[in-house]
Amino acid sequence: MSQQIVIDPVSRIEGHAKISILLDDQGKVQDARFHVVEFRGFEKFCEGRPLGEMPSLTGRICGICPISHLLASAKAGDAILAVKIPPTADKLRRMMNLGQIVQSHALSFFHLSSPDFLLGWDSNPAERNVFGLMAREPDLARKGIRLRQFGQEVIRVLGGRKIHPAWAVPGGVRTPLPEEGRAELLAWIPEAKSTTLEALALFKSLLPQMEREAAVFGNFPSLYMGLVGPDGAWEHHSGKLRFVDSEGLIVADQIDPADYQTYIGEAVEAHTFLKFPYFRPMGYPDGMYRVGPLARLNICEYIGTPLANDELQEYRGRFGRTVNSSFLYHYARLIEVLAAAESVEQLLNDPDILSEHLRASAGINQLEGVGVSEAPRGTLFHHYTVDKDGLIRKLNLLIATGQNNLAMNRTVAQIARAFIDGPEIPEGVLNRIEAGIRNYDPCLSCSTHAAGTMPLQVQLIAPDGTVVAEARRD
Amino acid sequence: MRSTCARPQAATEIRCIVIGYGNDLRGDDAAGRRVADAVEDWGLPGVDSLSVHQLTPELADLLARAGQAIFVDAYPAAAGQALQIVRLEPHTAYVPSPGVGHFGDPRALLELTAQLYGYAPPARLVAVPAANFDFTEELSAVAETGIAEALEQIRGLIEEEISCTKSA
Repeated sequence: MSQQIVIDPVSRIEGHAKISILLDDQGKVQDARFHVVEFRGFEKFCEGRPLGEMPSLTGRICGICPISHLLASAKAGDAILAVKIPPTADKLRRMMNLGQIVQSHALSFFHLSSPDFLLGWDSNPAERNVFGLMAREPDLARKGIRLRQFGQEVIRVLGGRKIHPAWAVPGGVRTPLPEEGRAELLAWIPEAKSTTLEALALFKSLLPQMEREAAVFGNFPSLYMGLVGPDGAWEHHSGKLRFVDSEGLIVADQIDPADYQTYIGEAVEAHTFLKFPYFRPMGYPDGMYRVGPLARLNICEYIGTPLANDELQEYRGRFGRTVNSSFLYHYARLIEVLAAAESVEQLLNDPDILSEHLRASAGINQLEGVGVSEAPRGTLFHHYTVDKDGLIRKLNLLIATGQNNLAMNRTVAQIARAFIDGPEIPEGVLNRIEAGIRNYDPCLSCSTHAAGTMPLQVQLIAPDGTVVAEARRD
Repeated sequence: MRSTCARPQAATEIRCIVIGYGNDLRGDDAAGRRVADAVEDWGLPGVDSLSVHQLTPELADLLARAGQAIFVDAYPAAAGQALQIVRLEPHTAYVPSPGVGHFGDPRALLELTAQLYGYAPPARLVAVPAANFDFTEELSAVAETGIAEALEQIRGLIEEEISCTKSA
């Protein structure tokens, strides 16, 4: 008799989700499904809204990655206005995106994932949280908060608010970088770099005891996709799309993001609201690709800042030129924080960074536009169609978490096969499955509301729907 | 609510911090944020008001410098349920176990503040009754009424804190 294990909901990720693990007649893991049951409706909600409203409106999809939506939306607006924005506006947008990467990655590493590394997957879940981190590494916990504050301060200095600034607009940005803000951020850079290097040293010191997890937490071949510069440099805002395979071979390069639909298809499955993007030339589901920190480090030739590039070389020395274990998203995330802090420093020292020429004006010159930005979790596409008055007729958001959907399903199945043998569901296995999802730092909420606590429910279900076993953690 | 004037001497450069949280694209979930925006518009000296999407760890740094904290959130109310104001104590039990997304409980945030900085302010939760969490920027009549009442109550709490500060 085949059975089904359901983990519902997944904790410490954004939004509501559950996992079903399908067992065969012998009790072995057959497959796994990651269900998202809450994400819906936003694209319809935006129809009829003016183009100029879209950056601010879509920026409010999420409280953790609003800047990614803000910037991708503004870039889609640039395309519809058919303008080239002033150079300083582009630099300031880049700086804000870097601030976003720092604050989001810091939250993911210090507050969501590091308790797993420091306390172990078999530890008491009531203690395996940010308080566990504080007990073990109180100084690092405070520094982690400061690092996230640095990222948010970059956003506040530029946009006037830490969350949801209506600052980037089609054609450029609204306000310049103030001189006092520049000085404040420059003074903060050494601390941000120092904290990140400390976190990197900690993570590297823990790697030997996490070898089994690194081997099975999403360790499989796939394609990788993201933005790169013209010479293949690590990129987060401009540039063109590149796909590489699991051996590092470039399979498509310097693709204009506006042509994304030529290369990316979106499959739909009945069991989830989250779509399954895939690399169209290879078909579905063979065209599985990953995005985000792991992918960005796999596709780039180098990082254009010295400390981060040194860390990249060490990372590749440890794991190879192309890294296929999703567990190492955490490592890649820290290298990106370092790259972001260094890049902010470079931009702050740019002689034109205080310029007040920040916005190009135009009317509606195209009825369709695509904007793309590297969100902390991966490449984010905003694709708008407007009418002649600039009202949104159609909207397609291709979000990073969706693009990792096939890989997240594969990851859960791999972990389940490694740790589940029969109908027993030990606590440590649940933790590992959740941690496997957290590798990707998914941000599913994008407008969901978490009211109160969400219990963790595990059900073992027979094919006839009978619940034959159940575990619950409130 | 009875005044205690129990603010520790360790406090602080911010007399009162108001933190309203929620998603302002999800109907009445915006109630806490609307309240925080209104308090900010009052421009009261020594009062910081933050309108945020979610409670995140770095808020602990601000809480550690506040004499009093007032959290404002929407709650799904049954018909006839009114505004609720409850005292909050720092507690690890309210850390989502093992944690739910990027959403935080104010009691866990207070505990984080106490553990990291050695002090957490006296705190209350002002829970605004809410009826609709669908995709909309409009508020229901229930939430509109609750917001008005919340602002009246919060003004009283702030005045009480200022009174405590003067008599200290």
